[in-house]
Amino acid sequence: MTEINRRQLLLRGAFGAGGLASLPAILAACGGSGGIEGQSAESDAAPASVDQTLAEKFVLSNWPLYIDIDEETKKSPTLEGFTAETGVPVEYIEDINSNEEFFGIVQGPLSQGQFVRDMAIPTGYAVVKLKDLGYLEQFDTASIPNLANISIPAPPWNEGFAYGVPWQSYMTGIAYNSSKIAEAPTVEELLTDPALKGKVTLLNSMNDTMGVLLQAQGYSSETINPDEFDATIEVLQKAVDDGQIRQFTGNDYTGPLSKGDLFACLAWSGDVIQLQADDPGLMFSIPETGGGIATDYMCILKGGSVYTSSVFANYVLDPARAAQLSLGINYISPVAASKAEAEKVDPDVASNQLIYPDQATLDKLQEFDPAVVNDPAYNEKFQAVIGA
Amino acid sequence: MGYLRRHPRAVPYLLIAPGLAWLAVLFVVPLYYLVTTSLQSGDIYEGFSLTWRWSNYGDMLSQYRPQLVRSAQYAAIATIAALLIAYPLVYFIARRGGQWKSLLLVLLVAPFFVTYLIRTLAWQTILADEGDVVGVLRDVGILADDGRLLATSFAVVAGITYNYFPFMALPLYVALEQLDGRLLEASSDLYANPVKSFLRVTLPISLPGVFAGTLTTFIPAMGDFVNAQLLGTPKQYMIGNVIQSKFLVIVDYPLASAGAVILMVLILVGVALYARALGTERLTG
Repeated sequence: MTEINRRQLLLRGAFGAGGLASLPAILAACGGSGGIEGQSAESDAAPASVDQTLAEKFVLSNWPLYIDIDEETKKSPTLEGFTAETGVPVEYIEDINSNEEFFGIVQGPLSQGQFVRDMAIPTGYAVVKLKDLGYLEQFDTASIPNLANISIPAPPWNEGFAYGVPWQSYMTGIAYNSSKIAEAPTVEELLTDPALKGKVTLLNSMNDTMGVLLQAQGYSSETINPDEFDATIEVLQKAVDDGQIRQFTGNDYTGPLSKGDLFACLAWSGDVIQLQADDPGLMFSIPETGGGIATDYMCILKGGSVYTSSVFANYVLDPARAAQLSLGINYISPVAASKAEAEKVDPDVASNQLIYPDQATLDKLQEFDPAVVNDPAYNEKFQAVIGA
Repeated sequence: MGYLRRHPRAVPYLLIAPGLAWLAVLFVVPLYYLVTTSLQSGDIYEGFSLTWRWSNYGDMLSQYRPQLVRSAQYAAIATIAALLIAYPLVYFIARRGGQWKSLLLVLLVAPFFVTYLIRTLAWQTILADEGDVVGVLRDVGILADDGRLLATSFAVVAGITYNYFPFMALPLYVALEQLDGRLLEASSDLYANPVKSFLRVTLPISLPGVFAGTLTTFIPAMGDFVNAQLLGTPKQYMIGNVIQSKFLVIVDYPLASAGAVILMVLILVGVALYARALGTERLTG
C-alpha cells in the first residue's frame, strides 16, 4: 500500500516539477502554510489494517553520531543487521541538527501530503508537535512484540507507544574542561562567576537550558509556572547582558570545549562521553540542583511505510541489539534488560552512570514540560534572550 | 521558421521567454507568497490566514531595529574592507600578473571551492582563544591578556569579509583587466603622475567593477546569518538570525516573511540611492 502511495506521490512530484501545465499545482504547493483540515481526527483513529509487506527501501533521518559504527568497516552493525534480516536496504540520513530546523524542513512537504522519510527520530516534544499537526502515522504495535522490553513509562501523549517508540534518552548537565577549572561549577556559578565570564555557553534549545535553569532557581521544569519561567528568563537575561554567556549552541560546543575556549557549558551526556575518548580531561556533571532528561523517539512520518518502520522498531528493541546500539553511541537505552547484555561486552560502560543510570541518578533529572516547548509565547521569550 | 519570418518582431520576445518564465516561477510567484504570508496571522496549529495584518511590519521594525541596523553596519564595513583588500590585489593580478595571471586567479578563487560552512568553522579555529593568532596578539599587547577575537563583532565582520571576498574580487578583475594600457601611457605622456593617473583614468574606468563588486558583496552580506551564529554571540546577531529563528524555531511564518520583505526593501532602496550617487550612466556605459 505504502509503496504504491509513494510512487504516486513521486509521479505527482515529477509532473509538478515538469512543466508549466501544472503551474496551478505548484502555486497550491507554495501556498501551504500550516493548518491541516481534519487530519488529526483521521490519524487519531487506530489504523484499520496494516499492510504487512516490507517497503523496497527504508528511509531514516537521524541526528549525527547517533548510530553505532564499526571502526573497521565504517558501517553500522544495527543498520546492516536490519538489512540482512529483512532484505530492506536503509537509506540513512544524518540531517537532524536540531528539532526546530528539522521541523522547518519537513513541515512544508508534510503539509502537502508529500512523502519525506519513512522514519525520523526527533525529541519527545517535537514528536508531540508532529502528532498534533497530523503528520505522523501510528505504529503497527502488533508487529512490535519487543515493546514489552521498554523500561520507561509511555508519556500521556503516547499511549502504548503508538506514535513514538523510544530510541535513546539523554541527560542535560554541565560539561567542563578539568584542565581549566578544578571542579564542576554549579548552575549559579555558570551564570555569575567572574572567573567563567565569556567562557560559558548554554544550549540554544529552550527545554535544555531553561530546564536546568528553572531547577537551579528551585522551580519545577516538569510542570512550568509562567511567573517562575519569567523570573528565570530575567536571570538568564542578566547573564547574557553581563557578557557571561559566550554563545548559545547546538552540538557545536564540542570543539571549543576541547580546545579550551570554553571552560564549562551546558551539554548532552552522550556527546561528552564520546569526547572523553580523545580528551579524558573533559567531565560531565549533573548539577546538584537538577539536570534534564529527554527521550528521542522513532516516529513514522505521514506517507512512510508503517510496517517496515514497525519491524525496524522491533529490531532495535531486542535487548542484545539495544546494548549494541547504546555501547556504540553512549546514550541511555530505553531497554533496561540491555544492561546485562552490555556487561558481557564492556563492563565499564555498563557501570557508567551516564549510560546506565541508577535510580538515584534518575531522581536528579526532570523531563521538561512538553506543552511549554511547543508554546510560541514561551519560545519568543527565550528566543528574545538568546538574541534572535 | 515561417512564423518567425512573417513576424520578425516576435523574435526578441521569444528569446527572452525562457528567462521571463524562469523569473515568473522562481521569483515573482515566491515573492507574491512571501508578501501575502507577511500579512497573515494565526499559528501553525490553527493555520495562517490572510488578514492584512500590517502590524507584522511594525512589530518587526520596532522589536528588531538593533539587528537591522547591525546588519547594515556589518555588511557595509565588510564590503569596504573587501574592496580595500581586493582592489590592490586584483590590480596586481590583472596588470602585472603576466603569464601567471590565470594561476593567480585560480589561487584567489581556490579556497572557495571548500563549502561555506567549513570555511566559517575554520575561522573558529583560526581565531580561537587558545590559538596562535590570539596568542601573538596578546604577546605584542594588541589584545589584553584575557582578550579574545572569537565571539566578537570583529570575528563576525572578518568572517563576512572573507566569505564574500570573491564576489568583490571577480567583478573588479574583469573591470581592471579590460583597462587599455595605452590610456595610462597617454596619461603619463600628458604629465600626470601615477597618483593622478590612477584617480583620473584607472579608478573611473574600474568604477563599474567597483559598483558590481560592492553590490554582489553587500546584498548577500546584509542577509547573512551564518557568520554571526558561528563567530559571534547573541549580541552580534543580524536580521538574518532573527528571520531564521522566526521561521524555523518559533514557526511564525508571517513575522519571518515580514522580516524578509523589510530586508529586501531596505536593500533595494539602499542600492537605488547608491546607484544614483555614483551615476548610472557612468556605470553602464
